[in-house]
Amino acid sequence: MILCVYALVSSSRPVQRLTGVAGERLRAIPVDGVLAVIGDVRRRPAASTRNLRQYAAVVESIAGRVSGILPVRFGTTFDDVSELMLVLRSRSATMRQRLRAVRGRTQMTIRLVSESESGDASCASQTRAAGRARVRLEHKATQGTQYLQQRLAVLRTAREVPELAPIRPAIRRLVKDERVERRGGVATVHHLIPRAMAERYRAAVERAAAESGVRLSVSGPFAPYAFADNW
Amino acid sequence: MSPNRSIRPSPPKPPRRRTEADEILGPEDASLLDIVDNLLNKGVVLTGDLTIGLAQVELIYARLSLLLSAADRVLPGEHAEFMERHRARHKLRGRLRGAKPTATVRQVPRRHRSRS
Amino acid sequence: MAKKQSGKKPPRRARAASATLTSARREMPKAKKRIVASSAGLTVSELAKLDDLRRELERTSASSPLRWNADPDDAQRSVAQLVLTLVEFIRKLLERQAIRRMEAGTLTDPQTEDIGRALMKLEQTVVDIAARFGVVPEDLNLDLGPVGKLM
Repeated sequence: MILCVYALVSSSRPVQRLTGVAGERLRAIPVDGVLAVIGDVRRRPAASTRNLRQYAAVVESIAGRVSGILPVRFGTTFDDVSELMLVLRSRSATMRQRLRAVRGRTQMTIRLVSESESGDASCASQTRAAGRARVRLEHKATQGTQYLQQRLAVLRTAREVPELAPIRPAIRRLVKDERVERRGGVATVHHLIPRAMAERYRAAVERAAAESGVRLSVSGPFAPYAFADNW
Repeated sequence: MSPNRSIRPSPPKPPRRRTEADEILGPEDASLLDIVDNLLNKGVVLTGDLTIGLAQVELIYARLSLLLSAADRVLPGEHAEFMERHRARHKLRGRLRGAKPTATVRQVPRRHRSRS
Repeated sequence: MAKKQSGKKPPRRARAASATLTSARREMPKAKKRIVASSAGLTVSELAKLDDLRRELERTSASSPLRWNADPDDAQRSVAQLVLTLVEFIRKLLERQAIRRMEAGTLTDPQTEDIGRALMKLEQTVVDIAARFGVVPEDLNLDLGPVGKLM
């Protein structure tokens, strides 16, 4: 039997009588102030529609019982407990910090069709831009610093979703954190908001979207999948 | 691990006892896009898999259990002063061990993989 | 205008199920459990784009993400591609961390300058070596799966 990891939670809230994707009873393993919610399975769950929906439902069940949860990537399995503990022990400080950051909060997702270029533009255009930047650098003594600052500016631009500007004032006070991803012509914005505010958030976004003519889709609330890592 | 993990529609299954998960999230709720995006593209990453092959034949399956973290979170030394201030501010109880980033790589030939 | 697909399960059932849980549950803030997805007036082609996205995510996650196959007919280029991709991956990680530390103010000015310079040179080196082996910058984007998300 191998271990299938569903989520990491803050200590002291046990997960009783929950079952996982293979109908297995779940249990919690404490590691350095973090509880790993796991199930014992025969093999890694395949990414079928049924298993995905079941996994998502399990995570939401757990989320309903705890104040802070970090969902784990689907299909994360370990051959034995010592390997799991080694990895978690090494990451425990970061995980505790992330758990604090998502405590009492939930994720809402906005998607827009957007053709803006991502900050992770192909290497080619990045290189060209860097070349141009080098030509422009005036003070040799601060070349390195200017390079980093230009890279920072590129990153900040990538996090911008200009199409969302008309919506932001309506939700500014609710949004505690944000993650942006661009892929395949779709911009996905995840917002971390207080748990009780999900309906208010959705209503505010839809109202602002209708008023400003922005076409988008909003979904949630979800456990904070997009805020689980801190890169 | 099944080499060809793919998304397939679920075959009809006999009715099973309803679990709490079913009470909370019925099968029709939540768009599949959100589920796929959240579960397969997000969440805490604790492991990674690597296959290495030659001439289109996959020969090695490597399991990577990664610790990949910012050095100033893991290593003491010149960052100790910063961490002191950080700890004082947030009242962290954990001690900073001098643990270096490690990667555990297991090379397991695929056909011996599932012995459980 | 807004099409709402709300959950079919009324919250009442969730509360009934909670009767079997431990009393700790009553202390929790009442989390809204219904998942709601609404698409405020998205056009048909935009909805199709969302579906394309879903399929792309399924596709890239379904296969073993990290894969390198040496091409025996062009071994030098294969090796160069793998090595440079790994170097580029590390370089991007370093850059991301350097920028983060710079923003957080945990780098001194001389450190910032030195790191910036080193990253500049590293980037140029990768480009130069790649050119020498006929590897174009686009080739340096091997799908690194979940680890690749770090970039």
